[in-house]
Amino acid sequence: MLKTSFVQDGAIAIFSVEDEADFNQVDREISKACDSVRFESDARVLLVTSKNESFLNKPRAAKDSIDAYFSQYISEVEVPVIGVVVGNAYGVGLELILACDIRVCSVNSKFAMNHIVEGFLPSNGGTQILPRIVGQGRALDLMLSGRTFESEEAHDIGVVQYVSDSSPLDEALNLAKTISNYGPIATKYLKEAVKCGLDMSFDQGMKLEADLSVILQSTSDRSEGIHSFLSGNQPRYKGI
Amino acid sequence: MDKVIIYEKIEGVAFLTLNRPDMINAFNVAMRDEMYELLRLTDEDPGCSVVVIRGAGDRGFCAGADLTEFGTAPSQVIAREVRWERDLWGLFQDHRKPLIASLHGHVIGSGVEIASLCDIRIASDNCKFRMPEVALGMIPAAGGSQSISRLTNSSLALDMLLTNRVFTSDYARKIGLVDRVVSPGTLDLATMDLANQIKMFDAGLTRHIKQMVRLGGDMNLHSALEFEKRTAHSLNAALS
Repeated sequence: MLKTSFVQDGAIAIFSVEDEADFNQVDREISKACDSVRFESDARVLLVTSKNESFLNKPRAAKDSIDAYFSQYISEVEVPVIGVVVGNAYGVGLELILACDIRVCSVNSKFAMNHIVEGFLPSNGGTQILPRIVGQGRALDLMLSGRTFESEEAHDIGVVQYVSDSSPLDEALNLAKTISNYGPIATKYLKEAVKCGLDMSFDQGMKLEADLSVILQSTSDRSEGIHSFLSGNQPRYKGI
Repeated sequence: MDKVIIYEKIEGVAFLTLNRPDMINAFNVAMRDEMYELLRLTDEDPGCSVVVIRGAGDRGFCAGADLTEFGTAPSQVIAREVRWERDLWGLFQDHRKPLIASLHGHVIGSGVEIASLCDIRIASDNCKFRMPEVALGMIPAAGGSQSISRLTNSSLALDMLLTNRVFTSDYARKIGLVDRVVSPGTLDLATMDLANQIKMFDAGLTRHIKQMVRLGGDMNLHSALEFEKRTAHSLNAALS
């Protein structure tokens, strides 16, 4: 099922799908795990990955996924979420990583939004998130043809931001370490400004950004950042 | 004392050149005030058809906000008032003339944000784009969380804004952060060509095209098509 672990003194939470036998159970466990990361941990970054070669993909998963809500659970997480494709990401598996903010894959990874091949519709964000990432034309091409695409194309169209030729998990962990060393309130607010801002008019988004920026001025992390920069020291952010 | 922004007008093209080359044109309060006045001036000047924003010196367009001026944070109430007292970033958005950012070398923090608020970005192939705010415990406050995500997508924007990593000119071109890339020796010429080409067109048309694209981007497609139709009809009627 889903294994949750923490590394770097709890700053990085990792969800790993270990066994896809009962998809709906995995979905429930993602819900619980997201809540525990949000409300019961000090995690500054969340990694979502899979032990399985094919991530969540099994034909029946497409049918089961109609009652799944993992994309919503993951998009409610306030801290940055990195999706790590170690093997491939087909169908529901691709939807799972599209719900993440930044995505890493292996050079050998393959992708497909292939619900249609099995006679189903994407129901976990595929029809909504994919067009917002790759544009409407490309998204319809991928969803209507169900065709498989390689890591290079995935990178070119923005489905992944990093392609690793050795270990995608190591690359994602390094990225997570980098982000977790930055001001944790700033990284959360930034994600809120970008993601909520895209659902607003530009003017409203500017106001959201300005308000969040003003709130940040009251944090000691901001003074720490500026003083460290001016004195040439490494900042230590406490999240206050 | 030298002006921190040099203003020149050459045959209808206004050049605003950030002029603190020994600081890689770090954006300070004096620049903010001059930029505010110059954007108002060029907006209202009937003899100005296009505005080019560029940076003086070999090292880069702009190294970001001048942190030496970030003193003790004022109260949030005052900070918020100050932000909207002179809404410089709103002036970019509402400016009636096409704004071209001509970029070279270091383009950091508010440098990227200024460029992203312009209408067209032309860059020499030696640019290094970087958004360091979260590394300093802050978030962008000149629209970076709104403009970059709209030029690219939420994942590419978050990757840039959460990691502080360098994006090259070629990568920036690939993801839509810049529109044209040229060799450093031809940047001025290519910028001039672009400005000269645009200024040949009717000023009313360029103003309306800009407005239709910017405002239309905030509407649903049905309303945007209606808006386009009405604007075009009234313009075409006036011209015929």
